[in-house]
Amino acid sequence: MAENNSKLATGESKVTRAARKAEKRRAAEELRRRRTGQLENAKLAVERLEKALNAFENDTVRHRALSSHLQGFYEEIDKLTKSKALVEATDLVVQQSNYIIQDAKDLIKGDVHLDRVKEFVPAGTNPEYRDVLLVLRAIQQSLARCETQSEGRKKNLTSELRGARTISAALQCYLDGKEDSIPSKAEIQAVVGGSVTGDCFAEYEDGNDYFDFEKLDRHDLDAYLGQTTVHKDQAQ
Amino acid sequence: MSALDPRAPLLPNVSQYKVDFVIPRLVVDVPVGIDPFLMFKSRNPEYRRLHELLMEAFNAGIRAVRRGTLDEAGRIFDFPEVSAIGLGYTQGSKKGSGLGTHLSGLIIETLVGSPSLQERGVKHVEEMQLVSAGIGPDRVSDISANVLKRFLIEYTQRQCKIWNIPVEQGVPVSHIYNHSSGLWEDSYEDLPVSPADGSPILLVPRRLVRVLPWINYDDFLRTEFNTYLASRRSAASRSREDASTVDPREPKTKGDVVTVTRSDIALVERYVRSREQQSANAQPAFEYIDEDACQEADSLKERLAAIPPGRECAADYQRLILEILNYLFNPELIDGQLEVRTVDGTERRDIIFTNDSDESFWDYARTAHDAIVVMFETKNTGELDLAAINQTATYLGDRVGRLGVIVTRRTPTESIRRKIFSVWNDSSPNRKVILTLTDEHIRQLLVQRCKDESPTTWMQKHYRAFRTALQ
Repeated sequence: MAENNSKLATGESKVTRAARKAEKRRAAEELRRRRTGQLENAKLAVERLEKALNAFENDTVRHRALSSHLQGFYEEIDKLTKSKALVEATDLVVQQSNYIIQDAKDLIKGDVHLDRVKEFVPAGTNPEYRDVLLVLRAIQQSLARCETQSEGRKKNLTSELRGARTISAALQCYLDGKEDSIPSKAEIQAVVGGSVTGDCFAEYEDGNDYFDFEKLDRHDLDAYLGQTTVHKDQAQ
Repeated sequence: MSALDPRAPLLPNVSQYKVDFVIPRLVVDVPVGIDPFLMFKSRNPEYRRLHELLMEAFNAGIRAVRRGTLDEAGRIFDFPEVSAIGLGYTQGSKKGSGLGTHLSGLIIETLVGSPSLQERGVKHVEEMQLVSAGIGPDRVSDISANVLKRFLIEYTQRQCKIWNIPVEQGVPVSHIYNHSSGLWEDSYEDLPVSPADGSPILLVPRRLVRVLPWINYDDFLRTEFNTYLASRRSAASRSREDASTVDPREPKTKGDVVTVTRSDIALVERYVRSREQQSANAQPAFEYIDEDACQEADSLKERLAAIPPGRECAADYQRLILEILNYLFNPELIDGQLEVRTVDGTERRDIIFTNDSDESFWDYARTAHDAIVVMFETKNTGELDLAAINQTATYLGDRVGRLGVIVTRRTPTESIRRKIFSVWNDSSPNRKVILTLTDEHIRQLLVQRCKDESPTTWMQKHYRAFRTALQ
């Protein structure tokens, strides 16, 4: 009887162990699936942020070119205004001014003062030099405002891209490595090939920094990967 | 019995401001004349063709002189005064001297005495003032009226139809130049007649009249001839220093001047070229209009207010708008016509004007929107609908240009505004512009005109507002 009970207990524990093992395997698979999903999102975020940063840099080049062109043009119109304030501007001046207005509007979004500036519609009579000068001045101011704001925007974009790259590399290392192995900061730095975002890591007992997956799981990944900044940037 | 006012207009119920033609007076002439230069510089192909016809006829006479067939030349240069147009400088009556036989002889004599003129021909009839002592501005007008009488008859008939001016059938009209055969003909025409003496009346477009022709003797004397004399004086003073020669006798009378011009036709050539270059300044006369512009504006405002919106009054509204547009824009926009059908008769435009203006906005419209004619659609409705916009957009194109104006009673709704914008956006690269004029706009324009400010400037701002709103 006792022997039978012991056999039964051994059988039960085998079943329990097997069940636990299966449960553990399911959890590991589930975690792997989640990490794979996170990696896809992270890669998309990196792509998006790289594009945004590229576009931003292109805009910066255009901004500089327009500012430089406008500076020269403004100075010449200023001289002409001093001698011919009430004279109608020439067709070429009106055409060039309209190009500047178009380019500025294309480059700068959401500036209420620039939005109020409209292209000249001569309809047979060109505007006077003093009016052209006033409009050019408004555009100059708008470009200057935009330059101040864009410095901050560039910092945000760069930092978010670094974060997204760090997360993406960490997830890739995790999925490529042994089961349950957490990638270290040094490993991730080697993959990224540059600096990584410090607050993505936690210090472990061995004194080294390892990627903090718990923190990653606590955050809304989309927000964490700079979706907001990109959208805001696109809107602007 | 009350005495007739000789200055009373022949068409008492028609205001000079509201029509395209010069209203003749009962007994005396209106002190202006037809200036052929205004046809020459016109953008209206019909007027430019008239100038060509005039020159063809005149140069046919010159060719006859060159051939030595003076009888033939005398037959062509037969320009009696056309008293039917009621224009001229005759005091107290409508019968001037006209060229008649005496002056025909004078033209021939001038040509015979100037081989260089025979060789060159004339580019403008007005040049004859500069080479013949007996030909003045009124003769230029007479020559034009004679050669272009067929056009004046047809124009008069068209205007009588628009303004319901009574006409008599089969009125005898003599001395009409047939441009195909080169002969003078007589005919019977349906024309209005003078209540004073029953003689026929011919109406002349306001766009074609000036007090003095653009090319005229006084101006020639002041400019080109003066320069010529100055250079002659300076040459003479140089030669006196060199050889103590005597001062040459300076031409003083017109007879002296034409002796010089006949022998040195380059003087005339240079003067004419400079006048052609200044053609934008050649504007039709306004001075003869003695009606009160503000009184007229008030009367138009009152009449507009009295017409209720609705289909029943659509015809009255359309007609009143034609009068208002004439008051505002003539002689910039000319020959306003009602209910103009296309050649195939499938489309009917409410009001069409020919854009013959030198003002910058209309000039721009002509260039940017091919608006040699400007179409006005009148909608006597409380609210403009999409169908009206679609119809106007369909009408705009190569034939009537791409600037159309819808004249309506109230400000269009936002959806109509958006539809008008979409007509512009969807018609690239040849953009179609539809402007709207409401009762309020018309009142503003009438006030502007009363203050002697240009309604065209108002239209330019209105156009700019439209284009700016699109940005």
